[in-house]
Amino acid sequence: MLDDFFVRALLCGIAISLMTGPMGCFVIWRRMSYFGETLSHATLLGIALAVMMQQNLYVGIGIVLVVIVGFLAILERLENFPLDTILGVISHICLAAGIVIFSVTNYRQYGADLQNILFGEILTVSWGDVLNTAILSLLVMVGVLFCWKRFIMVTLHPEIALTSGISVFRTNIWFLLFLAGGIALSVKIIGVLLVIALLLIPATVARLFSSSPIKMALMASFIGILAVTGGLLLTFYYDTPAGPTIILAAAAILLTAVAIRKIKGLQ
Amino acid sequence: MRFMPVKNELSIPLLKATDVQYSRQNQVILENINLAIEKGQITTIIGPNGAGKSTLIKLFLNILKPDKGYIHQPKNLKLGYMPQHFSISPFMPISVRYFLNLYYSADPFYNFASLINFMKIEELLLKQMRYLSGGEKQRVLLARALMNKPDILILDEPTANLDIQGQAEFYDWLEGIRHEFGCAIILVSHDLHWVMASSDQIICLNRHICCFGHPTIVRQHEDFQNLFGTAWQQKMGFYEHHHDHHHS
Repeated sequence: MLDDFFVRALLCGIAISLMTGPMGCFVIWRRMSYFGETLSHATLLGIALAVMMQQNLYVGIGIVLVVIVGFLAILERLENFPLDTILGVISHICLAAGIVIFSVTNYRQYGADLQNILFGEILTVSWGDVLNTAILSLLVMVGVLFCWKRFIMVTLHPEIALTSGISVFRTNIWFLLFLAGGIALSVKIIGVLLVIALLLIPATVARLFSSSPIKMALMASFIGILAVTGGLLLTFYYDTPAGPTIILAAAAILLTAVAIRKIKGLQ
Repeated sequence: MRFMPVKNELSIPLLKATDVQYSRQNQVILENINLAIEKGQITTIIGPNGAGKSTLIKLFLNILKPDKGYIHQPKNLKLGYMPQHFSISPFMPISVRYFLNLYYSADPFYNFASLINFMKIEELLLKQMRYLSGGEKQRVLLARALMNKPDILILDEPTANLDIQGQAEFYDWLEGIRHEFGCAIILVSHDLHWVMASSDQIICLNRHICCFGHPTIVRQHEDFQNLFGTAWQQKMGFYEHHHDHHHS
């Protein structure tokens, strides 16, 4: 039957997709794709710092993400702030700093390890990784489910949400933490550079075929699973890097979906 | 303490502002605001752009807190808010029914169906929010604001994009709402002179309260008839300002 590594990779990918489905929908609805990209680049910095100080990877990632989330949450409160510029600046400083720190502390295996961080190492995950990913992914999903109504209400109109008794600030913080957690999980699978694509593309496809936010979230998870499965099969047969291939599979699904809609004459 | 709980609801106004001041970034946006809203009263707040009308609304709604002064409200006062701007992301597929259900707090005595019926949005329930016309969106947002049977309905420039005819029709709706639901209404308008004829008080705002009073019903003059059409004459009132000061 299928090789062990393939089964592990597939299970990890499915676990991630279940979570990136709903999170990706929110990233699109809240126009936070640039924000998400900043978080994923910050993850690289976290990994580099963790390696340099010889700490647990997740601790390094966790600390950097909390700092960035805290910093950006404060910035979000300020109106008329050129957020996209700030994000662009922080995002690429993190990326550059992470790469430099990593190359200095890890010079022997720098090339290979950096490739794994940038593009993911889904093919070398262990059963322990599968379990960790599944559990943490489940935690994020349960959290999103619990906060679903609040997230939707704040996304639609923060002021109306305030008058309904919702603490918009706290809701936004929880959302950022779930997003950061989801991204940190996905980085191992699909890499720093392409995490955001795994959030955006399945949600974009789902948007074409859904009539309610819940349906869109579920469909996005399903499309993610399709993309992961298709991408891994292609990787298996053509020996291409797994992460990017999964994204290309997602892109192919998107093109097909757009074509189907055009043919059916729908908007 | 910024909010003083009001114990006796019978003879005390629903909402009262005392010496309210609000500044931001070293600029005074509102100062010396003193006003009261009684039960079932229709109040129209008018003023030029930048007068602080939206800020005042947000102070009433507890979205913002005054820097000085107090906003007095009974502790269980229910407010219904219809914002000036409301746009749905083209990426979010959401039906009118799903949208309304978000704000629905299940009350066994509350007749959700009758509200839908009254606002005439029954045929819109399954329609996607992003495909609603301007008027349809307005009715849906009004229905949402009325869902918790508010004591005060607060509307921020609801007639901003409407012509005179549309305005008069909207005021007709509002009168019906007050009659049906018994709520007080606070209405912010961008028009400096033409207001809802059945307003109980008009407040002219420009960082402070410049003047206040009552509107006069439009007379049965031919010119007015041509402007409004006979049917809507009674809906539109004219407010004459009486400022005793000038602004630089």
